[in-house]
Amino acid sequence: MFEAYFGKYLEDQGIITKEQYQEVVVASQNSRVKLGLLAVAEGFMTEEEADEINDAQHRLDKRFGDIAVSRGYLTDSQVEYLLKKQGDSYLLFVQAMVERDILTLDEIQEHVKAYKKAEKLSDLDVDAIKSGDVDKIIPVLLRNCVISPVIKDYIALSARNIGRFIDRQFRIEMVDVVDQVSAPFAAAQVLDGDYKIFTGFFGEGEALKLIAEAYAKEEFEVIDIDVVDAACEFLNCNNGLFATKLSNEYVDVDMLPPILRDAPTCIKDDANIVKVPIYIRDQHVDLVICRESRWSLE
Amino acid sequence: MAKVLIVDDSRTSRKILKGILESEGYDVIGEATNGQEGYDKYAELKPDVVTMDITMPVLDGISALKKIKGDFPEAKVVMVTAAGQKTKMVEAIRSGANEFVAKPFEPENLKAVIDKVVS
Repeated sequence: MFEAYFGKYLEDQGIITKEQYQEVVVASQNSRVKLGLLAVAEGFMTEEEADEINDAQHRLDKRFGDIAVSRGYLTDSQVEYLLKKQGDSYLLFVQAMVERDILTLDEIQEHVKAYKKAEKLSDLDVDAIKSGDVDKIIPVLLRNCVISPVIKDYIALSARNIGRFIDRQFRIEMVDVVDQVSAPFAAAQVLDGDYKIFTGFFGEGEALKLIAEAYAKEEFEVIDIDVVDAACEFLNCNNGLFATKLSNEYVDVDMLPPILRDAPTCIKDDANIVKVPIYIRDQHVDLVICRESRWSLE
Repeated sequence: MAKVLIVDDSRTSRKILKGILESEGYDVIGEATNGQEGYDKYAELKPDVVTMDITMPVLDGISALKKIKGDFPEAKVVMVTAAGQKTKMVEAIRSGANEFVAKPFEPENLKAVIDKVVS
């Protein structure tokens, strides 16, 4: 995931062009084989077992390797071997840049130093982002705000599901706590029960369209209420997985009917709205989360 | 082939469900966007099976299930749930739900469930 942040920095600084960035991202992603495919190719598991785990990931907020081990299809050491073989996505990104003579290794090192300074990132922060482990990355993105553990868990789970169901090429920018968020489109749902939590995607539309198309496996010609509906179905599934997680911790929440808006919408709540800027293929949408019930939606 | 009524407030879910069911040879004879409309269409169309979303506006899926089962005890209703709706599933079983399918839909599982209910 570090490559998504660093690559964007290089592009914003004019060090590489948008086209070069996209080319390198595609090249590095193409060199990275999915873990299930690798496990089948290595003869560690059958295609049916890999499909079974892919299906299970629709209902469980767990990584492929963790489910495979829990079902006895892979051992811990096989998962470790496969992860090594799968390769480090940042190294693949660097390799793709060097192979294309876009930057040398020395230049990349210098730019990494400048990036860390510009973003005030420590070596530990960079290691956390490079790990690709959402649970380690989220605390780095939350350093500007104080939020409750339940919201932190929700952001981490949502990030995993965006990567799993929507697009691996996404990044989350610094999370902030704000008074209000406005957008031309909104797909939202309230969780009610032991906790009351407002959740929603607020955006210009292009990112919502990407979410909608990936989830519904359908192409949308225009951004309208159907796009918002499909994006909200993804949110509903995401919230279902979150409700399952809470239920395992003896916390009961129910999902209320979706809130679909294809007209300018604003959510307000004094210093209580958690805004998570998400970029999917460089299109921006905010994941908005709000605890308790003081918010107002206009 | 069995006649199916789809009750779901989400256009996306209805479209995905209809696509899968029709490709498996089922006859989707109607769609409804909330529980009340679902009840009215059940009374009018008498399908072999209903797929009923749980979370819907106007009248939720469990209330619609109770209403349909109250007036038409022979009705066969498959509840559509998202993960994490355990409490609702228990309530639906107590209210006479015949089966469950979970979102996101898996075509093979959906077919197996509908086949089981209509056989």
